[in-house]
Amino acid sequence: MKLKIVSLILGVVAMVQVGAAQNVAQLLPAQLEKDLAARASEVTEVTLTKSMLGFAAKFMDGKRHDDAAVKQLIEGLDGIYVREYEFDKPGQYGPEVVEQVRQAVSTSEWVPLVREQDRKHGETTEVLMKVVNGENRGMFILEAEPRELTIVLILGPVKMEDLGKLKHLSGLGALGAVSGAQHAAHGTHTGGSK
Amino acid sequence: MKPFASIVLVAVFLLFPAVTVLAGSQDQGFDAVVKAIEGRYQVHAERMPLVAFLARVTGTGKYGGSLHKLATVEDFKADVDSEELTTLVDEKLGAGWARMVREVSHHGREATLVYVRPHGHDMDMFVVSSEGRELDIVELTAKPDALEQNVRKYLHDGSEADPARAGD
Repeated sequence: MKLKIVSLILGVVAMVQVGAAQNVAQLLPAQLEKDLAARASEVTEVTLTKSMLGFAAKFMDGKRHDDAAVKQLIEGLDGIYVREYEFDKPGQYGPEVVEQVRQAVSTSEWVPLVREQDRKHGETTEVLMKVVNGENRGMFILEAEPRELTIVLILGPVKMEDLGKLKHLSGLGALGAVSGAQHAAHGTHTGGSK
Repeated sequence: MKPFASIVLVAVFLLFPAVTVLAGSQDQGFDAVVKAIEGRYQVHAERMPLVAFLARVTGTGKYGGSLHKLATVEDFKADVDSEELTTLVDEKLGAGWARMVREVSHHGREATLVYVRPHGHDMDMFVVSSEGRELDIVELTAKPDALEQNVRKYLHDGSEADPARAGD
């Protein structure tokens, strides 16, 4: 247990060291979040507000090129919110849950960037960009698999190519995969399915 | 009024706010969380009052953090509802703290809550972790400068401290 605490603290430190968080924006309706957490066998929630991100930036060495780039990125962000749920068996959450999650970003500010549906395996990936006055002000990523649901909300000026920089953050490993998939798709597309 | 009575009155007047603040602080913070957990799950938490002193003596602070308070519940058999535990800690920890990480594994009966609070240039951290039959409550301060220096020691080859980067 002590070892777990130490490794947890080191994990948080590593997360802070590599990455970045303030206003508590509700990623999901509170009741939906509770329901999902109750049904899931594994739950991971990461909330990095602006103040936490600002503190994290202090850890970063601006002299190292890779650190400097991430430091600059996280200093400009308003928050990173991750919710990851793993289920014992398929069917423990339904399409209505995914639809409720989508409602959170169903305003005109949110522009769809990527939508991939793998009907064979029942997998969906969606990436939306928040655009305000022509500027990127956030990103929303939804990955729904039969036994896993991942929701990531990044607030602040972030680009698709920045996801790769954030993937080292604890709990944000999925961003690298999304970023990679997007590159593989040779740019932005919407409504795709396979 | 006699001088002695005046001194007593002044002393009471001066001490009242301090006593009020101290009494209030027991309702929130580390001790409040420990007491609430003890009460809810009918367990006894072993507090380690000298842990901060020992950490200072052994010089563990130089590695990037200083441990302030630690309490452990051994033989923790309670069936924990992670949602309830989260609400309890949220309420008892008090203002200024923000929950950064919550990790729950229903299979392993594991729950980990990590809260942070800016503390000048440093950051206070509060961790509640239950696994199997043990529950630990820890409060510490992370010091970015010392942490950064220590992490750098393991970054000479770019792989030890951050294996994820090695794969890039």
